Amino acid sequence: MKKELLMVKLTLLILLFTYGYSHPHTFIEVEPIIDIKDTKMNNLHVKWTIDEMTSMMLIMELDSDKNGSFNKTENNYIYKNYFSDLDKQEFYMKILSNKSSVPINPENFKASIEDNRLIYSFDIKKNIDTKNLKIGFFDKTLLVAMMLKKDHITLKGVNKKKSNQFKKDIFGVN
Amino acid sequence: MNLYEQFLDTLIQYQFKINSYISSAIKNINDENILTSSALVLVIAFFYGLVHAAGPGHGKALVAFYFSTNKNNYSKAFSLGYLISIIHASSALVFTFGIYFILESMFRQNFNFYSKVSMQISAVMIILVGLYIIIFSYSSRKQKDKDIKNNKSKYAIAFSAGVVPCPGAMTIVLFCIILKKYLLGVLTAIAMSIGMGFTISLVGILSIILNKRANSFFLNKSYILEIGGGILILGLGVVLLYINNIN
Repeated sequence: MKKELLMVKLTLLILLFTYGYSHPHTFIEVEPIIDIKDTKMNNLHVKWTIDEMTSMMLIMELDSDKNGSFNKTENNYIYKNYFSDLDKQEFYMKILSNKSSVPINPENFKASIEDNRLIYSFDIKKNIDTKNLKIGFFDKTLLVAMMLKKDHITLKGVNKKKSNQFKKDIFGVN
Repeated sequence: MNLYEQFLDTLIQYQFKINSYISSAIKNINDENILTSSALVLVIAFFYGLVHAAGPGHGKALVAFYFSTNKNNYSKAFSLGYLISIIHASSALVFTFGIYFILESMFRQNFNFYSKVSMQISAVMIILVGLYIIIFSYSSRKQKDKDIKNNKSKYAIAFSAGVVPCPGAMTIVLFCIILKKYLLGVLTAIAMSIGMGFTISLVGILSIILNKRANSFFLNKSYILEIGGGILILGLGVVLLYINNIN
């Protein structure tokens, strides 16, 4: 009987801790490109492709001249009102070097539209040793799902064999 | 990745696929295939609702607390599950059409604002339901028949959980509105709510099964379990109110 009561409590606890969070309503496909030179990462280029339904909703608002692309003013507006706010969520990513968190400061932000989908791209210019480097993409609140596939990761400056090893070591994908 | 994270990850992968299927199916509807393609969209929306509600949220915790600590039967689990999903989807429809046609612009920002307000209303209602269950269970601890008042808390639970519009349904409805497929948007929200209601009801049934086993342990002191449930619901409301006030 004690086991059953424990089950009740455990079920309730799990549900309690998941209730405060939201399930994903937006899906972002992530494509990172790392430039590696002499075992050091000197730039991380990140491309987000937002799911079509969310994209259309955002494009409807953000493409103010309705020409299917973003001009400089629109780009600045998106950066200021939508993208820069994501610093509270650390831009849905975490970089660890020797288990220490690396601050995320995106540069060269660009918003664009491809096949009805909203694209955000930006650079993170950091000179970090690839040894003990870990990069992850996630939203703690689960409101946004960050989708990372092995094929979407590009490592420049290393051969194919090393590239696969880096993908596993840095991004944790097999 | 632990077992729970793997479960969530699998759910996310499925949701992403279904999300993509729905958007391309809606886009591909034309005059020639309108009936078959619309039917396909509704079937996909049903499964989307089913999987979508299995993830965190949608009042499952509230349903679990409620049925784990109150004497109920399986049909009540279904009626509460579907009440929540109907209110959830109706709220999504009202919000989406309201924001889109009345406020006309800045959908995303208005959506975030009204969504937060609805979550605060929901949290306060959950606190009141928790208090009601605690007080009622204590004051009527010697009564055998509590059905009438039990129904009141059932409706309050359904409204508290359902009043927060489902952003998943809102996104699909808005997508249909943008493509000027208004009726399909309404039908898709209904199909999704049928799927969500099924999943929420299953959580209720699971909780009733657990409750029946736990009740035999408490024998005539089942009101203790009910008060415990009331406290958990109250705590849940406080947590939600706190989360929605600090963000």
